[in-house]
Amino acid sequence: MSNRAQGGPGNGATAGKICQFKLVLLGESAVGKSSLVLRFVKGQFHEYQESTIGAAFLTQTVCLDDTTVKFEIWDTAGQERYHSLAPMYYRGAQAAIVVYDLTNPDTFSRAKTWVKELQRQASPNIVIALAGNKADLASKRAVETAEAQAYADENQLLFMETSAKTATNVNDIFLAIAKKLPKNDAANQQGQRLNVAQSAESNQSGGCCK
Amino acid sequence: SQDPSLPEFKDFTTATEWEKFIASLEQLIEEWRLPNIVSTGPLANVSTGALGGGEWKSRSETVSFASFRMMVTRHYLEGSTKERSEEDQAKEALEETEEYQESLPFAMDDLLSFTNDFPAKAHFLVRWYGIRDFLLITPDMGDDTISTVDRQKMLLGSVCTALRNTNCQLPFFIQMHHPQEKIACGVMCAQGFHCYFNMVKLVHTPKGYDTLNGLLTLFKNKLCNSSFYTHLPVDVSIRFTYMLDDWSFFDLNSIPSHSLDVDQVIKFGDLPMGAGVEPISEFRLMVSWPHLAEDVVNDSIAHSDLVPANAPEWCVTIKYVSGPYCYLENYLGEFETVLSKNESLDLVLGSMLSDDIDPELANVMDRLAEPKVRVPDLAASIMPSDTREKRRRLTDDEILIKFMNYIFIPSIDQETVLSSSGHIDFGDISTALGSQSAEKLEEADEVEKFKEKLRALKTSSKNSIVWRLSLALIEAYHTCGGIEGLALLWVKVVGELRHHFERGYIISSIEPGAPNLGMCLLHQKIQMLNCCIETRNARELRESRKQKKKVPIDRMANCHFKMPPQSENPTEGENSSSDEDFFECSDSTSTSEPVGDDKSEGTPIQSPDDFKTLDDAPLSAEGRSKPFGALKLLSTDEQMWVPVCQQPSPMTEDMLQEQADAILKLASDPECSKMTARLQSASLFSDMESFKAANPGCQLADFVRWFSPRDWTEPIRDEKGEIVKAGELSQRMTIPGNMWQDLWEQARPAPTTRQKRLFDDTKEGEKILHELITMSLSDIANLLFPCIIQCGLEKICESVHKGPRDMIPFMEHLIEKTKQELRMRRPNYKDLIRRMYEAEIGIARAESLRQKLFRKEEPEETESSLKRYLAMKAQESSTVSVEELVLDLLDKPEVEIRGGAKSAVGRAITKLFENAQKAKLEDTTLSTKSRRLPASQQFPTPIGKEFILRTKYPRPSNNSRTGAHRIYAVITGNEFRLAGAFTEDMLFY
Repeated sequence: MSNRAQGGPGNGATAGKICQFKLVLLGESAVGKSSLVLRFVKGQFHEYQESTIGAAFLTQTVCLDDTTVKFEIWDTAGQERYHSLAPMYYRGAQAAIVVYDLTNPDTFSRAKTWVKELQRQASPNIVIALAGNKADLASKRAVETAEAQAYADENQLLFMETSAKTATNVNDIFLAIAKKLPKNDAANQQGQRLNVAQSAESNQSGGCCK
Repeated sequence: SQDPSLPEFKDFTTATEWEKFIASLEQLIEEWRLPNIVSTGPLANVSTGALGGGEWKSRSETVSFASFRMMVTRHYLEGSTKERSEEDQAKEALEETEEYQESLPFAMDDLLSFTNDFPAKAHFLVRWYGIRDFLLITPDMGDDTISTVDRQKMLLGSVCTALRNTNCQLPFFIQMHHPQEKIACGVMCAQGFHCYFNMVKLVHTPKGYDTLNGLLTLFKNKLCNSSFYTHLPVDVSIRFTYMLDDWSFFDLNSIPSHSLDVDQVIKFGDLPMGAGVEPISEFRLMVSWPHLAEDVVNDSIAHSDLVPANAPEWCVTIKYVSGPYCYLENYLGEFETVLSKNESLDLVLGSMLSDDIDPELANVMDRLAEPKVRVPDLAASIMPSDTREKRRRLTDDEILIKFMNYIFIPSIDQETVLSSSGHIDFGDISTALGSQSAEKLEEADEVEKFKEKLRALKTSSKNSIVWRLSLALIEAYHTCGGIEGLALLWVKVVGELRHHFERGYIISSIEPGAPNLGMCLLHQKIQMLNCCIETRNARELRESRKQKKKVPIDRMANCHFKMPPQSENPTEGENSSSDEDFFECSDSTSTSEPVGDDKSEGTPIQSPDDFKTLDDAPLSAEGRSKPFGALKLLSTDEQMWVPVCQQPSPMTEDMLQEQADAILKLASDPECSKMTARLQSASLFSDMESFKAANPGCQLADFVRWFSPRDWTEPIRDEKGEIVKAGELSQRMTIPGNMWQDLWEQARPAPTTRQKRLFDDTKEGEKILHELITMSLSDIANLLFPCIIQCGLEKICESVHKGPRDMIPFMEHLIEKTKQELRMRRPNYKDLIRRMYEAEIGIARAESLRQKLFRKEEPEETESSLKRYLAMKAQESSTVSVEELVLDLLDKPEVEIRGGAKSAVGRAITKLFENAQKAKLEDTTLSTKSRRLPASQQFPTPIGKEFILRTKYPRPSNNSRTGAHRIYAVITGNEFRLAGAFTEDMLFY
């Protein structure tokens, strides 16, 4: 699904280009995936965010230098029963945020299994971010920052501790992802060329005759 | 010359156009800072890439002579000249007098230099004069040319004046006549010398002047008016060019041909590849004598020492046919045009379709299943017989069956056949290279690695039904009547799929389970069809059981297709053996095994064990799967059961996209979250109903404890086990009016069997089949292309080691590109095909070169075994170096051959020319059966001869300082050209 061309419309040379990226949020239920998205997209926070059924879809656009990055965000339901549906959301996604609740160590180990699954099954160059949510509940912290950071470093993940409630690091983590996403597809277009064309033209001027 | 302290002074005396022109030239020279230009040192050798290989730059500006506009261009080899620094200038001013006597201007040194005589690729003036930095005037007014002598003299005079006035040492040329004529004259003024450049171009070569002796006479005559002045030492460089452009002497069968023979066996899955024409138009050998004293060789009309075998330097270059016809490119490119054909199938097939196709059409498989009965009436009845042509047509039943067999009957042989043909065939080369088998293995490994990479493409697994379908359809397109053939076969195939669907036969050779989104869309659709078939079979089985097995279960096909056992005798009736085994009936128990996390719909049939445990449960409970840990229901304290649930409906990527689009549409709605949740709640609702059925007396909290445990807080007990705080639902679950509560209230206890089906197999299956049969040609081609591209890439990868040196990185990049492209919604197949074509040409060129240079030496009869061994050893080493040559030729514009004629490569080239000569001679005289031709006859007459003669000699009088003089002569079939540079001392004459 949604294997859209990066670079989107109007891939002009100088005019700011628009990149469209599919991003998926994964993680145990009730860790605050929907709240993070709601905060990022609408700047709102509900104390009791209703449990997501299936998946929700939202979009948000951020500007990065001269590029406009449009995120198509798939916010998935965290219940185990929905696990089998996850591949259809992360398939073709260019970015993923794996969320855990830093007051609950079980959600952290669940996050690790998500990361593992993504590394194994999602597209090879997917940008994965790890978000330790509910940072506002510092008193109930059960996952140490250092531990999560070490895990993130080990697996080359972006890592931030976020709070959808106070908006801490919410925009930042999305921006960090936007920065890390490849936007210079056009540069890759040229890439490797076989000597075939070159040698054909070099024949034009060589030789003494004709 | 410009002192800013002086007031600007407009000199009205520069009145004439001529003076104005000179002034503008001077201004330009000053502006470009050319007066102080000096060389950075002697030029590097041509082989290390100075004049020929260095980076040439140019800079232009227009100047006018009255109304005649001209372009002045400076061509210069980057880094070969620099502006003299002021210190150097000061120093030189002191040493000036000495300098004058010691050294020649750098341009004159270049005229005499031997190091850059025949650059592979350079401006013609560079080729002829060996200069590194010069100015050139060309007319800049459409077709206008400078062709009259007075104009030429006028310009030359202006240029000369400007150069003198600015003290610029660069040669300055004026292009005469039409640019294609390549005629220029020029002048250089430096250190009191004037060097005049002039040219002569004739269509016919004056007698005797195509030899070295003739040219020497001419040169000396020009210098000292006396050809008898024999003590003038002239240095000579000579280069002869030999060309082969007629390859007809090669055996016809040596050029691979892929004719689409009507009677030929259709070779599915083996795409044609290679050039259909000779990709090499010319093979040129340039032999040179780079530095000779004039008296060392004799080259006159009567006798010549100048034969290639004697030449110390050999150089080879190749000219290619541009855009040669290549089979793979043509095969794919032709099909690519279908992508833009929006015609519907009805339109293409016209009246053929209007006849009812469904009932009969699809029964090919039926007939195949019946052993030995194959009545060829079907297609003939559909197609009017008069449309039959001599071409192979699908109306021919035999052929149609062949196609259908290929698509629908998996053959085990296929895998092995394909993989064995996939091995790289090095032919003669490899047999000679016994010692290099390790390398060969390595290459085979590399090919494997490529294939592994190809497997990651979003296509279909190799030899799956989708793969075969794609290849059969493109084959039908090419060999069975273009789009008509394609459309006809497509209709048949869809009919056959419908037949499978309606009869409940699982479509074989595709991975079971829900659509794999990592595969191409067609793959997913076929998987989806299988899901529908499986689901319906399971349902019908269930129903039939309910009716106490009234219906025999032999209609049940096995879920996972089993490959038919390999026939002992594969040649005998490939159909008959596989036909019989094609549909394996499932064991009645095989599908009723408890389905854990399986992809198919959970079968609500319980194993006998379940029934036993059911005995002590309330009878009303239905659809239990297994106890859920030790949890007890909150209100009744009964064991909590996990219900048998409906699996969510499998979806193909386009269905997912559809759903995503639906959600997307709602996203603008403020109530969106409610709406999207409602849209996706069917599965949750079904789970709730199942849960209620399996756990009578349960409440939402119980459901949440199973379904979403994190929304439940366990009760807190004190040491005695007394509940201090009751367990509770999370607050978000208890918000009044939340969806979960809504749904829970609406849900009625019902096991899956009595629920609304989440997955309507009939509807979905029909939808797919309908979609397939109503597609336009372009849609069909889009479905087929991924596998076709992969197959093409595979074909190229098999020959990846036969290509040029950069073939492997190129292919790696191409595969990566393809991987990205196939994930796009509309992949740019045209671009991919173009890139594949590039690779194909590369391989074809390399192969053609090998074929020409690796002509096996005929074993010379009656030789001792030792001799033969030595010969073989020699050939071994020659193989290596010839292979090097082939790769070099593909990489570089010109390849120098070390060791010339005596090297292994040189021998191979001589052989090539000799064979061509022999063939030519045999045409005229059949008597030349001798093994070897004399050295003088091994090569054809050179198509080009180049001579460079140079010397130092005082001119115009004996008292003058010695200046540099040079003649470059090139003699080809239709051109005799002399380019001379003669110096005169303007100080002492």
